[in-house]
Amino acid sequence: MFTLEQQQSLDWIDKYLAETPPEVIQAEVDRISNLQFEGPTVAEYFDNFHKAFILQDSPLQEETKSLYENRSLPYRVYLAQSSYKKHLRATSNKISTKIMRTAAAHSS
Amino acid sequence: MKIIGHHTCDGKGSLVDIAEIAAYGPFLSMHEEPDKHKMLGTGYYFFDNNMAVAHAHGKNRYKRQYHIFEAELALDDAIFLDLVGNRISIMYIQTVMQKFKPYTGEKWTLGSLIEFLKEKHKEESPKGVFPFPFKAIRVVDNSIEDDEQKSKGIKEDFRIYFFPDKDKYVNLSPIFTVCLLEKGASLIQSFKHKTTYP
Repeated sequence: MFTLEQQQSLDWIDKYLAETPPEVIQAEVDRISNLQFEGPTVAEYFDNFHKAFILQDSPLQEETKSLYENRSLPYRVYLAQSSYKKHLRATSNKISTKIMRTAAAHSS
Repeated sequence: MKIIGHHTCDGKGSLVDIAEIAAYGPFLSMHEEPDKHKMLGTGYYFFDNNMAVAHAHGKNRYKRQYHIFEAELALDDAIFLDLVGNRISIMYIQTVMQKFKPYTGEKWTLGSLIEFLKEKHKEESPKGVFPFPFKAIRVVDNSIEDDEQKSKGIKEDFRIYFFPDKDKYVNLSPIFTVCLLEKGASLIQSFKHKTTYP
């Protein structure tokens, strides 16, 4: 009845539930339910950014790239820094000052 | 399947302008602490072809200053968990929820279930096991109906009755939410500015 992908998922869940001690399952489920946000480190953020947007051959980037040709910073650096600043603003009360200091050092 | 997705984002601030966002793509919504858990966990959220709800979301969430972007999403069946129009996908999630019920109780959310499976997928996939191989999920948000829907600015009454004398109807304005677990050119074929409010 299920697709191959769904059946493989269900098979894994059966195996996990059969082989994992109940207290471990309970702890893992509870941990997800009480998940706390931890901001990415600067390195992780830039790594993810590059994987998602720069290494991919996206025609969208080409369309907007010309808009930034005259800026003092290279396009990719400018885009990454601006996006990271946006990210910091959105989660500034969550991210440690240490990460913010590192971000400042990174952009200097 | 191809879907038009509408993505609403904050219009305040000057560091990120429209061209930047168009190049950057949709913003990630984080499954943060419990009171900020997302419907489908961490991901890139779109309303399925629904400008009215995209505007309503912008007015509520971003205090009437927002951009709306329009994306073309290409969602292949193998990676698309469609909990709107695919009964097998719905039964799959029902089965998963049932299996975990002894540990989760009645109130375990769909977002938490998805986050749990995503984490297991990340752990197991190097071994060639794929507990959650999906990259896109779509649900219908039944909680935004009637009074709440009207309060968010959707004034049209889309309740269409099947029979003149019975209270059986179809909602012709359902709100479908699409969550992408990752963003890439294979999933998001285009991402363009649609409008800015005000």
